[in-house]
Amino acid sequence: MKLVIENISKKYNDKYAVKNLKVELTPGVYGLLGPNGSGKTTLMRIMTDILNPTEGRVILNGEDIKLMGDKYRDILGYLPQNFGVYKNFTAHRFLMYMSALKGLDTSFAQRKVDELLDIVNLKAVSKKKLGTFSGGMKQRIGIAQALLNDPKILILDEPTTGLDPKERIRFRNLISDMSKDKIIIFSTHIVSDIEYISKEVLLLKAGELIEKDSIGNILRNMENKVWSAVVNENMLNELNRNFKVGNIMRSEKGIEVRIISDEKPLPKAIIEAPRLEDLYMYYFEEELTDEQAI
Amino acid sequence: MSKLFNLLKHELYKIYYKKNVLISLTVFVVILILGTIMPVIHGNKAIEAKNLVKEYYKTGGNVTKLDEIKQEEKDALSNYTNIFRLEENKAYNAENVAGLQKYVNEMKAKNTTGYEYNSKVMNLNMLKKVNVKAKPYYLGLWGNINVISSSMSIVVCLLLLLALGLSGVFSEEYSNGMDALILSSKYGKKTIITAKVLASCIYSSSVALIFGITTILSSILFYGNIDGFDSPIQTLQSYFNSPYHLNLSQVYLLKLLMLFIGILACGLLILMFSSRIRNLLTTFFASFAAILIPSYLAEKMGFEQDILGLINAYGYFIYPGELLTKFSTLNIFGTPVLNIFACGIALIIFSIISIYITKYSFREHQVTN
Repeated sequence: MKLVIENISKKYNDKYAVKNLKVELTPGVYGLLGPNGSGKTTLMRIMTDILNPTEGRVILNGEDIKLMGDKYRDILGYLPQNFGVYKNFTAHRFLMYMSALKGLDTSFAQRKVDELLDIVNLKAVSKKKLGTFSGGMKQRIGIAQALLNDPKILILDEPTTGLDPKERIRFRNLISDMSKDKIIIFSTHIVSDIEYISKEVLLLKAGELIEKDSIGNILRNMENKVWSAVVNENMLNELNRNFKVGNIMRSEKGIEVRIISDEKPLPKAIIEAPRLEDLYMYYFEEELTDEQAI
Repeated sequence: MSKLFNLLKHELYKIYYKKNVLISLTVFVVILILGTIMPVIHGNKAIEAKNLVKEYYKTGGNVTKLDEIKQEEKDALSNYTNIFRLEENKAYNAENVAGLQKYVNEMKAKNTTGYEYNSKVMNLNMLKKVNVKAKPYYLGLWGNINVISSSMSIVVCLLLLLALGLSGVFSEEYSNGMDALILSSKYGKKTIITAKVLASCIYSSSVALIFGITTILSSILFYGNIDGFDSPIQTLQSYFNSPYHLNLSQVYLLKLLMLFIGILACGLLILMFSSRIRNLLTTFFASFAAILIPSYLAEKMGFEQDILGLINAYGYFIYPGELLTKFSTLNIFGTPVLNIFACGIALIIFSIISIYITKYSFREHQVTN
């Protein structure tokens, strides 16, 4: 199975949300990383056929998804970033409705819904109305609906939003277990979500793909660029002005800082092994504000 | 097919299981029942009319006080009995036929052709068929049904019910963010739209049926019998000028059928707005405006005999009494076509267009926020 994003652009007025994006995806988990307004959601909407690109097309195994129509949507699972629910529907009824939309037989859907409610830990509240659910519970219902049709292509837009740490680990493990024969695209700006499960990371900035590689390779490219040092308040201010500063931790020794720099920022700075979090700082330090984002 | 029914079941649940819809439907039934009871309780005219008819049969048609009743009183009593109209109708019809015949002959002599001539001939032929022979009846039930079904307040209630139930069918999906989930699912671009259209039609039909059944059952319950069902409609005050050869039960069924078609068409129009507009309240008001403004314009600008009058097709059918009380045709390229047929065909065409726009709008909807 191969999903090709072929020169996709999406333009709103004179501004590109996604610009000339090309990428080939095969089964495995892909982490889509980028700040707000980098085009992650727009790209995912185009990939789910709910938004037309200005240019380009998405091709699955040589066939344009636009022409595949419901054949494509039949193997698609999607969790949008901000999705609504019917407040007067129970969790069970909502999933049965989504099963009907996905064309599942009622008897099969009953079994699948029960199984998924168990997986997302909502079986006990399956008869409660969604209007009474917390944000995290709604997110878990969203995850369950995306998995109803056992999709071959799973597109998850910020799926871990609202989940507590335990649920996030459960969810990551679930995604990892399923990834053998599926293309899973997982957008987030929480780097730890994709650190251990991604086959590759796609870095998106201002609508353009700036990197696509395995985490290992990307981090290798960052070797000798991550430093740490213990500084005082004055030096910290100076570092903040001149370098990309990551973690800052105040301890008895002073202020321990993590600095991203091509050159040694301070004589006493020592080289550190790069982490995915450093990568985020390296590429996306000047993150767009929500107002600037499309 | 089973997939469609499965989705239809869920769509019906979405429409009906809303507190405001359920409460409104209940209030509507109560209003209809109260509308039936009130004249029975307060309307001694109904009882007076009933007694007059009883006396008529007891005295073998010799009710002396009939002539003593003032015209104003007669008009009020005529809502409940045809006793005053029988002789008047015969005379009025004969006069009308003779007058129209004379007019047609004159036009013929002058070689006048075209819409006006054809329309007069059509009117004449219809009037000739009108049944003017009828027995005196107490028409409490039919009078009541006629009053209720010709009430503008009831029409507004019906429209409110439709708008409450159907404005959100698509608008709510857009506003609560379900559109992304629906459109990315297998049946989210075709079958779901059919299911939503069918669910809306079922809801609209149920509103019309609730109206029809409640009106007839409560009327039978409170007025006792269906006497006068075979009396010509001209014997009822508001239809004395009608050219239609119909009796009271037929006209009730016809009005119900027209209302049914009108409500279905209005429902589909509201659905179309719902598929185009993201905001529920805007959909609600836009739908109202789209039905009531053309109605107002057609009346104020005198489009009744004109092809432009078709813009009021929705209005004519949800307020069906209007079309049946008088001879009314549209000039369709010189040919007179009874308003009732022209508007019916127009509604079917408008409804097909509404369904097409609804389907297109949702299928091509772009999820951008």
